[in-house]
Amino acid sequence: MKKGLIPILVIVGIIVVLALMLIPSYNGFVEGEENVNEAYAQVDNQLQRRLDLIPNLVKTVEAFAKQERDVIASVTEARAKLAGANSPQDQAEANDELSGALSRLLVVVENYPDLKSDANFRQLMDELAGTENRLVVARQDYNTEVASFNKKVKRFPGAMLAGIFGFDEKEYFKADAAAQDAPVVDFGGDGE
Amino acid sequence: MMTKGALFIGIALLFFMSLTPTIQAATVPKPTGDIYVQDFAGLLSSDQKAELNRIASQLEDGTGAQIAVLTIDSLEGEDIEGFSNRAFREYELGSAEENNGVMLIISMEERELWVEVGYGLEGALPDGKVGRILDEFTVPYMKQNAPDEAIFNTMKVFYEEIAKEYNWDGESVNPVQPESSNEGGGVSMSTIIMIIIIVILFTIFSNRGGGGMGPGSRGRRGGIPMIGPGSFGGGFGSGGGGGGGFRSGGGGSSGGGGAGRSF
Repeated sequence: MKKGLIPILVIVGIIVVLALMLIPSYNGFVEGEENVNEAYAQVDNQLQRRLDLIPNLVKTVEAFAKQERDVIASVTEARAKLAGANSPQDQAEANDELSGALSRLLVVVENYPDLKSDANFRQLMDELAGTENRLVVARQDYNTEVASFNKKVKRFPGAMLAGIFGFDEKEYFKADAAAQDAPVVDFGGDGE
Repeated sequence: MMTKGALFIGIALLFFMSLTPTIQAATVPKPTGDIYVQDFAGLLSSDQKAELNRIASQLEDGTGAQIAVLTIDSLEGEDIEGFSNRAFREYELGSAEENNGVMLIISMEERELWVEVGYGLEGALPDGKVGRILDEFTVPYMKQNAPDEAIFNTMKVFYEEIAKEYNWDGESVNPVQPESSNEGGGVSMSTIIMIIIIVILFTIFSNRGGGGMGPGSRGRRGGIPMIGPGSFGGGFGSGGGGGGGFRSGGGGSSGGGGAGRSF
């Protein structure tokens, strides 16, 4: 009787120890994923805020510089693209494109001193700049969380367990190298 | 003599720093004394610092919010927004629950400033409003070469805005808007260096605080035991310690809200 019991106890013991080892790593994945999601919510918030600010900005610019149709249209288009983007990478690309369009708009604005000194415009620009800065911080925080989560998923014991539990690597909020090439702008002709 | 050595290293380092601009990210100086005024560029007199510390600690007692100013000589190539966010997070302004801190950051070499607003004060101080405060108070004073007035009045405006937000009726501080600017000549580099040296001497001889001006003086300082109720980095819980201790950050964070200008 005693002789039969010992191997069983050993096996049960090993199973218990293994299970105990799995629980913290499972919880680690859950927590990591939660952190990633939380950080992503911040990114998403700021993107949304950016989307909300742009129609007002466009309206204000139009009031002073109606003839700059091309630039205004490119901002509106880029905004629509960002609104339609879904995955972090698509969003990052659309966001960069919108930044490009906005910086072209700012170059144009230099020619309209009345617009530049308009209180409403200044306020919008401050809000946009603040939102952009928040976005930089939020994407940094997000990418940091993603990096630490992916490390957990990819490293040895984790890699096996992540597969069993069904945790996947997360996508960075980062544009493709190709998409990061700044769009070529021709400032040659005058607006009119 | 240990102090003499430190002095020499500090000054030597200072000259090196003023000669060779570095490209790396600037280090955020360790806070000294009360968290509210971290004047590493030496723009304020000690009376002004005391007064700012006084109103800021009153505001904290009344509302829990923390207002602070950080002045530095140079960003060493970093952009001011990134530096400001790191500094804010290191100083942990505002309480951990409410994140109700705001910090004015001024870098003299680049002539840039930024106001970093913690999550919890974004309602009282939205970016657009901060920009207007900078246009009306801070930048005109900076252009008149009155950085002390710029800091003083900007802090007072923040104080008033926060008091309003929290419906707190503490002492009124009455910020003064500058008169139309008459621009003077720039402050010469040598004046700034003189001020920095005085500040360094002062921090070394008064033998408290982290010295913050350069890695040399700070590293050296590590050997001197600093024990006391006022050691920094201690205590996360928001201020309010008894008699002697310095006020430190309350554990708050910021997500990069705010506005900036160059001057």
